[in-house]
Amino acid sequence: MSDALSIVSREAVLSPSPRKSVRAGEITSETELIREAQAGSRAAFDALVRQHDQAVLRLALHLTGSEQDAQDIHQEAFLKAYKSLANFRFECSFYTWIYRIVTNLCLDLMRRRKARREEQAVMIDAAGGEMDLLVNVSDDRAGANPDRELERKQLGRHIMDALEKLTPRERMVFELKHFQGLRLRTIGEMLNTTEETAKNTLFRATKKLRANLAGVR
Amino acid sequence: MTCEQAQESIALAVYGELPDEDRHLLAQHLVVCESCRAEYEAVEGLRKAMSLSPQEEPSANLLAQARLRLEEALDAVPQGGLLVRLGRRFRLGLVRLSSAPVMASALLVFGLAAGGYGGFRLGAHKLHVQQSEMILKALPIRPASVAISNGSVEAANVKPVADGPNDSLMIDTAAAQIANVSQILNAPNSNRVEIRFNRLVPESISGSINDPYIRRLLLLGVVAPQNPMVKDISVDLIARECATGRCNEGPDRRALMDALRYDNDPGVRLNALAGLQPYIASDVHVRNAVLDAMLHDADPIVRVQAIELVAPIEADSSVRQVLHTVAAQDENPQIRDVSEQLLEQEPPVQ
Repeated sequence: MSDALSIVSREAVLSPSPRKSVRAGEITSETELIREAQAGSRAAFDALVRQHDQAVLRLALHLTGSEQDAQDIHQEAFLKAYKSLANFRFECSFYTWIYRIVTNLCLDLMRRRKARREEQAVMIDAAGGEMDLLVNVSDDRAGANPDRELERKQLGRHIMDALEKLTPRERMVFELKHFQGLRLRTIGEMLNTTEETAKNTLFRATKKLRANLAGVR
Repeated sequence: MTCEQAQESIALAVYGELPDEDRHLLAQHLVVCESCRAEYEAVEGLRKAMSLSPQEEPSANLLAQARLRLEEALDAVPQGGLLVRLGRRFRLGLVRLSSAPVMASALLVFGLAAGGYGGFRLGAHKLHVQQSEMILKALPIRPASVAISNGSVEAANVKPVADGPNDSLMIDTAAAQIANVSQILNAPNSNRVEIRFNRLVPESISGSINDPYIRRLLLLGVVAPQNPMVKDISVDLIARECATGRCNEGPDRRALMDALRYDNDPGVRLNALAGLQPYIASDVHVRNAVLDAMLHDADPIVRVQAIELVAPIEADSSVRQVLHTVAAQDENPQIRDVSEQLLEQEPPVQ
């Protein structure tokens, strides 16, 4: 058990966090870029966009599952940032600030979609026999075995279905924690809430996901 | 740790968000609680399962396309005019200042001080210019062809402050109420000249003639070189005061004696003489002054008046001496007669 804990903590440290990778010199140059952009320099703003737009696009793509929507969110987020850059007061990192804009846009989109889906009525129940997916799962990703590959694709689809069943907020917290590797404190800042609320939301999200995936064959 | 607490901690532990002390407690609990251990493994399994469906990196094509769309959208954003940009810069400045309150306060204080000092300097400069203009307007400037007095100053010297082409104009200092020119500053290779001078400011005061301050002014009037009328009236007033006995021994009598000896106007000398009369007997200086007048005054009326005044005290040897001199040498026969008569009336010196 303690082995499992130690593995988890090591992985958590190794998980890529854009904030951690930023060195002191880069922070200084980013601050200068922000100040120049605030003073009206388009080139400085373009440089800021280049620093963050790939991560933004990745998050949006995963949350929306649609390239078109991801592009829309990418564009809208940076436009919004460009127009309201003068209000940025260095109270948090620029990364947190831009993610706050992105997560808000994504949450809006997800809420709209959820509302549409609920209106569309009948959910198809694809349940046959039951299989305890979670305990049999393997971490081996180099799947040369075609059966294993198919299994993984199915699993991926089930995971996406399970994620879709979360509330937009639960989905957002889970995505930012699991896929982006952000600290819950940062996630709380991005979503304008407390770390404690973010913890509870993560707890609920994992519980729901387990429940949704436990019934998958 | 209870099972309920453990359940809540498991997700955090799996994602590396559980504090060290709680992790330790959880590990201890999991050793003894099978159901919680199963729960932990399930959540850990979920994490691993999720890792099988990682976030895909957006393709380079998608990224390039998104960047292109953003560029176009940013180009379409109106930049706004100069005012909008200035407003943005100003707002930005305020935002920066608000994040540095000490700097903001320092700037505010500095700005107020600089503004105040600037305003003071501007005001002082304006006042100086206005004063210069008023003084020059008050100066009686006349064309050069008109009579020029000895003390006149060429207007070219004050040209930078004076307005208009005044090269041919002269200032009559006698009427200009300028006491004197104290300093002239002229920067090298410059046609600007700064002249510092003292002005006479006319003032008036009224009060009792017995007021010491009025008395002092009257004494100044006695020696006034420019206005004979002032001198005349001053001597007259002081003399009248002295004639009624309200005359101090020092300045008043000295002023009258000086007037008697040196004034050009016989009328003034007569007034002085009248004022000195009560003191001829008691004050030897007054007596000498009157005797001087008897001997040397250019005006016969003054001399006669002096003789009449000393008559009551002719017993004095110096008076008799002078009377003898006058009786023998005075050019005026009438004065010689008067002197002789006086000498005859009085008994000889014992």
